[in-house]
Amino acid sequence: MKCTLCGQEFNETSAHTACKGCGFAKDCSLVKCPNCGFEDVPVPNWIRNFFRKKQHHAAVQTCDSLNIRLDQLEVRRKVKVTDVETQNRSALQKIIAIGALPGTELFLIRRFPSYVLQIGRSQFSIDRELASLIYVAPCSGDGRS
Amino acid sequence: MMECCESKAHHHSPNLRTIAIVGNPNVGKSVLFNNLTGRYMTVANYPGTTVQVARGQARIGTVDYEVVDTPGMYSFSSITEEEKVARNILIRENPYLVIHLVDAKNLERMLAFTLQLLEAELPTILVLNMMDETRRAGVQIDIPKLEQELKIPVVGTVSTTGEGMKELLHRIETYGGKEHHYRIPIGGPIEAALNKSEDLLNDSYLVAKRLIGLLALEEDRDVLDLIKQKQPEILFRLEELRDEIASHAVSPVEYEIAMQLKKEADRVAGQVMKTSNGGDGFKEKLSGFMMNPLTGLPILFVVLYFGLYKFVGEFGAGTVVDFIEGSVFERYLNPWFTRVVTSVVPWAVLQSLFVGEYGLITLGVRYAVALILPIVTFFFIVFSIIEDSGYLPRLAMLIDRVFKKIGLSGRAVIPMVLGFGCDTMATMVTRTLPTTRERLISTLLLALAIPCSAQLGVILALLHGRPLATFIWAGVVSMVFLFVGYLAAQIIPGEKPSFYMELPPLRWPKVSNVLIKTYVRVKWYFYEVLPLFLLASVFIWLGQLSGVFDLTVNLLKRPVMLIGMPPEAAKVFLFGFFRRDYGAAGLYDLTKAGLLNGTQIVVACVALTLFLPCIAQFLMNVKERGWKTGVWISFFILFFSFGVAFVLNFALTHLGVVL
Repeated sequence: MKCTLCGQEFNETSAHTACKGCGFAKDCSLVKCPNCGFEDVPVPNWIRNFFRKKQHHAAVQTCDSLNIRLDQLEVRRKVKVTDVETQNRSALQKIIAIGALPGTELFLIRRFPSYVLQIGRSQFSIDRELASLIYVAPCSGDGRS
Repeated sequence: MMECCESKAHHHSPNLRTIAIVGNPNVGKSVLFNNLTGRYMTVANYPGTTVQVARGQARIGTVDYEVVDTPGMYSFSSITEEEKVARNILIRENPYLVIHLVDAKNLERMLAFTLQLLEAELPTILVLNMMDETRRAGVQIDIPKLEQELKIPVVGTVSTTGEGMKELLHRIETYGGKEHHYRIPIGGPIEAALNKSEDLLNDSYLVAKRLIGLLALEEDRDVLDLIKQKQPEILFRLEELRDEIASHAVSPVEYEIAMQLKKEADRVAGQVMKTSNGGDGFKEKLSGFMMNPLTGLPILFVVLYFGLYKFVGEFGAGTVVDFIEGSVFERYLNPWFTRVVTSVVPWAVLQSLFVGEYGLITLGVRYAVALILPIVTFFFIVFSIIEDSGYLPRLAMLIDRVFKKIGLSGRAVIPMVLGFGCDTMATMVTRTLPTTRERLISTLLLALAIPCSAQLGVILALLHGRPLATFIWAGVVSMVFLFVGYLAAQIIPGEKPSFYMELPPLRWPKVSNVLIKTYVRVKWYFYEVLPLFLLASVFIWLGQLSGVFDLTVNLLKRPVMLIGMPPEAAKVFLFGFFRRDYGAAGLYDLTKAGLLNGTQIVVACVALTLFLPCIAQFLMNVKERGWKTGVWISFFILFFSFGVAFVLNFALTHLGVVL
């Protein structure tokens, strides 16, 4: 997003670095600009989507190298699984069963009340605990399938 | 889910060639099984487990085969008891042929397991099912090329319409045995350990040693037991190999293997699959609405209102029951039987066994056929439609968060919904839950707070025209459900549940499938229920004759009056011991006689909903959870249900609520 005070472009998901040392950082919906420190209110997705023109697909999709945990990802994003992090065998087997292995592309359909993923032509529902074990890298081009 | 009580240790027939159907859940294994066999089949517990496996015979060409419908499995690394059974059939029964059934549009994901089967050196035919949905989704699969890649027969089918079945039969008939040698190197320390373990395993195993070694490295209990039988001396060496892998600090074995299988599956799928855009916009939208709480809860309400309340409650339990009970039984059958019996049997005592107030025919058969049968049938029609449409997994997803609070995962929604049909059957279905803790909690809640369709039908009929009373009843029972579940989740130790579930595409249910499923379930229910009704009638007759019945009724009068009931209701509660729905039906008679006011009806409905499970369910609880737990659950429910009824009666009368 773009800071409304200083105009700096920054990534919302990485903005929490600026919140270090703030006692209210947990459960706070404000976003702090890493450049000037202005606390901005992010525009809710549905409003942003309402005003945004429909984007056309980028021909080549590139995926970021930045890893996010799946449970922190916003919906309707196409991502690639980069890692599964757990020593819990039964959780791992469940993730193998749905096929959310590194290299797999997936599309997050819902986060609430449970996470719904599209993997290939199948949809799966998993809970937050399982979702938090899967690390993903967002792909550009906002893949609407 | 059919013959619950058949527990003979049925092993595969030694002189027939076995065909095992394997694959993920929801790919149509049972339909293919029925297509292949159709003539004769048995359903029995797999030895040493509670998992049921269907086996049937098929004549293909001139040869008879035994066909096994295995429980769904995703890979050789198994999580649930059912997956273990499927896996054990593959590695212990030496099948002549394995049919790996996959959902063709998800070939790339399911191919990994095909590769694992090939690596295990199992004789495999790959069947790509649901080709119609696949074409509609815009996916094209080059089957000849896939055959070349895998070097095994591949057939495309639509098992519900029979498309491709002829070719499949032909391929089975002409099957020439396995030629494939598929090997997917894993690399690194795991590969080294695997090679060493293959060298160690020099006894004869029915599948490739690579697979046995692999499962041994995964610390799979069943496979370690198998090795213990054959080569106990190598167990410690295998343990050393496991430690060696662990010391290299790589990910667990099954993860590394899944990664390599996926790579290879992606490569093969990339060669043979082409995707153009397709898809059903409307179904996607509807699916979205079902999963969004804002629209999903109203949809759930509509399903419950029209499916359960209107169709099962009002039409099934009202119109149809009135007709069968009122006209058929009371006008024609009962008087006729009474005439016949009184003229044939001279002794009044024996007469009362058949046609008395609690007679075998006048009470036992009448309740079973006129009251319970129609209600259960209508419920199973609705349940089969809901099940086939793909709504249940979406409901599971919607409700998972709430269920987590009571120690269950969304998966438990399936036994819970089924419980509204028959709690006994639902208790059996709790086996599909992955942990003992979830199975215990759901068994308790099913026994306590989920009324079965027979009860529900009668209770809804009792509460008919009293909206406030219905509301209070539903509110109290739901509160009890959540409260007891919450407490149980706090008290019972064990692993926290985790939820994952495939959401199959929404489908229009097929009338024939719905009817077959309903028929099978009703048949199961009826075979289970009719003997018990008759037994209950005999018990009551004996009890009355010997005076035990009157004594017990007198004993029960005090607690019954404590919850504000007229003493006559004691009989109803005694009936409840024999069958919960039996008790509810007795209550129905009391109300018809005008003995109960509004408050009493609500209190009685609450007490009977919560009250002791029917005898069949009690036996099922004992069978599934063991003696101690089964009896403990019943004791808890006995006191708890009376306690809740007492408090409710106290509150309603002292608040001066008039219903």
